[in-house]
Amino acid sequence: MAFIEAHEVVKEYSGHRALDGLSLSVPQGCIYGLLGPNGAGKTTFIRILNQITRPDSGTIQIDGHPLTPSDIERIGYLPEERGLYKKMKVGEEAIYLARLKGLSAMDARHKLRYWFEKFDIMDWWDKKVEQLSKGMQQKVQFIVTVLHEPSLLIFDEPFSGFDPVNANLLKNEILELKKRGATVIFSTHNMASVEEVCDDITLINKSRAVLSGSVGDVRQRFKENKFRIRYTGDDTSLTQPDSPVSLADVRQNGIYHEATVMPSAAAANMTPNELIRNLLQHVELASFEEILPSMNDIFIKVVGPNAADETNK
Amino acid sequence: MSSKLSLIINREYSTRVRKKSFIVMSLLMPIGMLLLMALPTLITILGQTEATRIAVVDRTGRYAQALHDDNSATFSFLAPDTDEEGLRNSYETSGYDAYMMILGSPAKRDSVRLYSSSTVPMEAVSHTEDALREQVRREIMNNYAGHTSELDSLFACVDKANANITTINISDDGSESEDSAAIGAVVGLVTALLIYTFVLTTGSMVMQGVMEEKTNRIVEVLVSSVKPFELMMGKIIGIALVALTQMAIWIVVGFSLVAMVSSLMAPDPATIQSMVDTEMASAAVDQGLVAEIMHKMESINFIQLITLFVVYFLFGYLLYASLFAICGAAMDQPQDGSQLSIIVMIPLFAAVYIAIHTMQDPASDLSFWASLFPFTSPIIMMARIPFGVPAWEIALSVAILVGTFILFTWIAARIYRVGILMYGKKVTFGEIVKWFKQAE
Repeated sequence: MAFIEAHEVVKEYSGHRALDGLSLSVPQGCIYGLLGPNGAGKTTFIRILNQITRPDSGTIQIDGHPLTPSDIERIGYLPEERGLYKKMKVGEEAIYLARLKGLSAMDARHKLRYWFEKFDIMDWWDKKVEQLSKGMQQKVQFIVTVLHEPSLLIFDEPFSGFDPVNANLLKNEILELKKRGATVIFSTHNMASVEEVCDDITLINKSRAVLSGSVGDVRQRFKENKFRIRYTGDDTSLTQPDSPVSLADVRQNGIYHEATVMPSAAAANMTPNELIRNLLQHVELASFEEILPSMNDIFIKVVGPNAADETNK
Repeated sequence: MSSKLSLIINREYSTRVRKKSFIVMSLLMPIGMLLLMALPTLITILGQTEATRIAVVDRTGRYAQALHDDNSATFSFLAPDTDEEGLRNSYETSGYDAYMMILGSPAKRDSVRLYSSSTVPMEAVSHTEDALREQVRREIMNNYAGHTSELDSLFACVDKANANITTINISDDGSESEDSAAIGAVVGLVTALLIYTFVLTTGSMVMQGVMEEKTNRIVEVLVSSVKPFELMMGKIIGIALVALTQMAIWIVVGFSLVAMVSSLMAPDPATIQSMVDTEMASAAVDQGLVAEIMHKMESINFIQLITLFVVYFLFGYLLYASLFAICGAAMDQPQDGSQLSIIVMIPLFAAVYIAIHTMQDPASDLSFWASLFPFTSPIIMMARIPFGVPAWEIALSVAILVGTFILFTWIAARIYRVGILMYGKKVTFGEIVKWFKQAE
């Protein structure tokens, strides 16, 4: 069942269409990747979910009903640009932000104690935020985001600024939240983390959804009939221009050759079995493995290399 | 009020009130003000002035004998039936600085009148008042002579004995004015400057606060929990409460300081009779001074003054706070937007100059219109009030101010909600207009 259902959402900012009929469906209890270059409309969509702005047209359903003001208490949002009041004490600030999300003071204190003990940071409670390092502040911000036990979590580039140890800790926490039944929307450029944690994705480009589906499906859809092989024997005939298969990246590894193989342009519709048959005529095959494109490759392919450059700006 | 709004107000209030700078300001400011007020007095007391020559006409014939010369005042006694009109025209050419009419017992207000075209030094007035008070006491004691059984009530009467001198300024055109007008002008200017200072400092607090949240990026978290309007109003109201708290502390601390100082300066009643040595006499000078200022202050309606002060501060602040909130929302970096905030401050600066003019000419057209124009009225009206302003003018000016504040809060809210989430754009006036149109 879909937890978030967006239908034909349009948002225009003085002449610029930030969202141009975006539709997507986030299943309940999944980690959903929201991908796309900068300026594609991800932040606009997140702001609409958070009811910071309203769409010009289109509908958004959450948990089966249209968004209402009380829904914001069920959402936890970690923006890309992190921010806390620098002069406030950590505990006080976390409780304040939790109360703005509708928790009672006592409830907030209780839950905060749980998280501080879990991360072993009880001694930060009375420190001012500005006394903490950037990584520590990020941890506090994460706790603030999840403190009120929201059923929808929105993380915008959650791993930026974390060292590998803390990034891993965070990843595990996100997986833990999913296990507890929360739905997570995950906006990022970091494609490796998408493959690691996301179940489903939508790729937004130029204000529209251009690609949706589960990570596995998407990678299947974009596979290019490329295979990784290990073999022994003479491969000279395979490298001839008239060969029905073409080898690339050939290198020696111990007694084996390793290479990437794909049908030549003239025989593009060759099935894997036919490909193997062709190979077996010339070499002794030790292993044969399908290569699925990485999310990064897919991203660049769909969005175009120029847009990918913009992403890195 | 929504619970979230009160949460925001509470945070804005408590984080500021707990700051050291707030506590220090709350306590030091009244002390500083008191010292500032005492300074002219100290200068008069310390400064050696020539004795004031006073011509005395004692219509009662009972009090002039008590007056004796000292280094602050010398007295010449004219015939009790001297014509006042003639004296007024001739006292200066006759070599006097002032003339005094004793029309009745000095214990009664307005019975002793001291006329001069220039300001009579406080010391001279105090010296004269002390001498007359002594005479009033002597009279009381004479009346009681023989009734020793009533000694207690006698001492009570003597303690309460008082002498009042009304000092009257004669201006060049011959018109008279009580000195309290000068005090009124000072009170007007001081309250006007206080409003200016309060609006400027609290307005800047609003701007700083909005900017802090924006440049901190915490605003994105906040507006995913509360409406931008609640966030803006919470901040504005919270800071208003901070200012009102500060005022309340100043009033309490100020009044207790004044009470403390005057009780220190007032001679102990038990020692009045033995008050002969010079040290005590100089203490009496101070008492006379405080009493005189207090007496003149009495002619000002403090309840009205304080009420209008709070009303004009509150709405003046609310109007400017919304403008400062726009400035804060338009800033990307702390160093940005100073030009915008200067535009907002220009009417405030202008109002101070107009207030100085108003102090001299409270009835001029400029004073009148500036006390209606909402961006200057909180300051200018305060400067006019001690001179007396018709009720309808005050009502009209407050109504215009409130109306403008509502309009600008609405405008600011629209600009604010778009501006706080806009980064990396050079903010121009046109850009702000765009934000205003963009908000739905």
